[in-house]
Amino acid sequence: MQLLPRRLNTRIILIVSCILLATGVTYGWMTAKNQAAGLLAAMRVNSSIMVANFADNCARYLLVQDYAELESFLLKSAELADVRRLQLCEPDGTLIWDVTHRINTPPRAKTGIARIAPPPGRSAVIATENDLLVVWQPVMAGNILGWLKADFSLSAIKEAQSRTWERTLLMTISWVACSALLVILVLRPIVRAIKRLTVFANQLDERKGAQIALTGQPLEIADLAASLNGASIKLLSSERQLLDEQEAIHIQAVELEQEVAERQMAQESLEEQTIQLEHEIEERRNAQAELEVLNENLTHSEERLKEAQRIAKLGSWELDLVQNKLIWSDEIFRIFEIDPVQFGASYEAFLNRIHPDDRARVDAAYTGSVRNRTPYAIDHRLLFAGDRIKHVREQCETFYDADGRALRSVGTVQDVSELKAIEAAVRELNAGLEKRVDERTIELRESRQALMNIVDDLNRKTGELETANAKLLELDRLKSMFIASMSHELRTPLNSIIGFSSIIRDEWLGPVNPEQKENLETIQRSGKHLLSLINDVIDVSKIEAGRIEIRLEEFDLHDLLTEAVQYVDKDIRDKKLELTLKIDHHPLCTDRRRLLQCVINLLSNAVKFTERGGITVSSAMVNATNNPLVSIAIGDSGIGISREDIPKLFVAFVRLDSHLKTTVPGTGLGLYLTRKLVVDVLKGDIACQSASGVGSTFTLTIPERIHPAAMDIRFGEQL
Amino acid sequence: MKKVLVVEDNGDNLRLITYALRRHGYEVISAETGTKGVELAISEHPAFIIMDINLPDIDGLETTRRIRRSGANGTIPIIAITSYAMAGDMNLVLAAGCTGYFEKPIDPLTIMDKIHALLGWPSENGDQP
Repeated sequence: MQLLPRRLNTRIILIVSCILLATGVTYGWMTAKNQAAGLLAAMRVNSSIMVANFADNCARYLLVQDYAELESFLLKSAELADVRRLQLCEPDGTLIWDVTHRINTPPRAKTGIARIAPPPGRSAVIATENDLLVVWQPVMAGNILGWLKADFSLSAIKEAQSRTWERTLLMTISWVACSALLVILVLRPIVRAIKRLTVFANQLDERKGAQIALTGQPLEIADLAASLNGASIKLLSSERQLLDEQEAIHIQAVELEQEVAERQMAQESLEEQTIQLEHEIEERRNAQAELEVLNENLTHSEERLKEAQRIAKLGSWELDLVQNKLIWSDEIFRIFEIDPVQFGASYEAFLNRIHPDDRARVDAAYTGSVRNRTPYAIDHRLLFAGDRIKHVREQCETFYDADGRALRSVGTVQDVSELKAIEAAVRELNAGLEKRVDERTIELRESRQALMNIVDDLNRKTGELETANAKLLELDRLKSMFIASMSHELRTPLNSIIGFSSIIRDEWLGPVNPEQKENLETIQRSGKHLLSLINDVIDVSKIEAGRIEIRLEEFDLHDLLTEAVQYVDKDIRDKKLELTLKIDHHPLCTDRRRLLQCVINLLSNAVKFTERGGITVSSAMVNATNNPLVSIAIGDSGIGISREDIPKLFVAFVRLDSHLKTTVPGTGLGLYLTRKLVVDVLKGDIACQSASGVGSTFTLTIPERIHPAAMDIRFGEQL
Repeated sequence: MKKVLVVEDNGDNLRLITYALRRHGYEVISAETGTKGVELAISEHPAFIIMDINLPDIDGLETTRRIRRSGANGTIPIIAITSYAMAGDMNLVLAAGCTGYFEKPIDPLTIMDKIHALLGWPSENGDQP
């Protein structure tokens, strides 16, 4: 454990302070002690003299028995600064007066009957008790008259002591401060120098050989600097030495490596040579074996060559131009049909066999080839007895020495008679083919022209069609526009015709006679008919253009049928027909407006074509597993429809012949439109059961609900 | 006498409606344009308004919106007259703030029943002039 701080400054200051403090305290203590002892001794002397004096005076007063004076004397005596108490007693200790003196209060005297214990003997006694100095003095006048006891306060001594302590402490502290300052002043340059030396020592290995200069420093520091400088120089020299040694070692190492490398190389080349030698031996062995095989093969090859020449009808020859020696292969003898036993190979024999007409040409080709040093190939004929001819192909190449002299010619002769025959046949065939190709080409050219004409026609027609189509589209657009404007322009005046005629007919504006009323009714009826015709035409055109929209609504079937019946209620009552309803409440989700239109259409048809009897409206649920259907049937007891007319029912602008045709208004669009609406909008179907003269029943069968997702996208548009 | 505002540019239709309304004891004021209609709706405080949708300046829908926005007539009943070709746009009519609608053609004999039904009023107040 480190008791003292490590910093030199602090350490020295601490040590010096401790020493100074210890010295100061010891000095203070000794001074105070000495002082107290001196003071006490002086006080003893003073007080004993004083008390002896008091005792003498007391004795005098006692002798004259002047007690009043005695008391005042005692009180006065007690007033003295250090006196705390004066007690006068009989020799046996009975207290006569007891005067006490507290600081800052006048002394008080009392007499009592208490006893105190005087010391034995007849001489004065001085003792210290606590903070008091007690003096017993006999009151003598020959005999002992009594004892006077005086108590003196020692507080003066204590005060002097503490003042001494204070002074000493103050002095010590100022010494400590001064010494600390001194230490700091003295030590500062030394510490600095040490720090510099430390930095220098730390950098010694980096700044080899560097020197530090310190002036005016204590000798110890200067010595340290000198040794560091010496160390620095030594470091430098030892490093240089080290480097030299390293260099030497490095050089040795490199030399060693080189030697090793050389030895390795020598060894490697030795190994390589050995391997090469082995290879050589092996190769020579192989070469010998191959040579043997080659020899053998050569024999075979010659055999095969002969065979090959025979099959190819290809003979070979070699002419040694130096020795003028000609060698023919067996096949040449065969081609030339010369007996090798009778005749040897000779150029003359060869020339003799050549067709006389070709002889000059062949000779010229050969001599030309030798002269020009170019190989040649020539086809010519051979002539045999009985004018028999063979075609041969001859090829030859001549070899020369360094001086350009011809050494030998090597050539082949091939019997190509068959080839020539085939060539002739092929040529003939080719000619025929070419002729046919030409003919065919002409034909094709003609048909292509015809085709091109057709394509031109087609293009022109397509153009015309496109124009026509554009016109048609434009016409269709115009038709749509026409219908749209018709919907407004025709209906507005019709509205007025119907509206005003009904006001007059209902006599809002005054009385009308029966004939006028009948005419007004005609105007009204005709207007209504025209309006419904226009509405039907618009609906049909919307459906045909695929522009009718579906509006889905939740509603009750019963409500819808009731509403539909109300439209024809008046006519039914007018015609005195019986109406039977067999309808149920049932929730539906489909296009209410279109369903209403369909039912009203069918109902008004039923009313129109029924003269007597009644009309029945009934509804029923058709149970289907995932797509519940509802069927609505409108039956009548009217004129009915014949079997053959039923297919014509739903055709546009067709009105069936009947005796009512002329009297009942109709457009021929009603059922056509109804069917279109049922199929395209309500996604259902319509059927008709009828017998002529008995009545008809039209049945709508539609899904209870149409799901929005199932709606065809084109129905989203509007006219 | 209850006042009714008819916003309608077609004179014939206006006359027909006027006949029917007068016959049922209403006083008729009319406007031939939407802007005029808005002005009269604010100044005359009619009992209800009959609104044609096809008008020459602003259409009946916008006229209705403006009347509704004007504050003074925020809750006045407005009955729209729609054309047959407008089928499918009924939600637009109601969204613009109309109380209800009926489709052309205008039948003077039955129009008041329809209007009273749309207003939720009893229709007995005027079978006779």
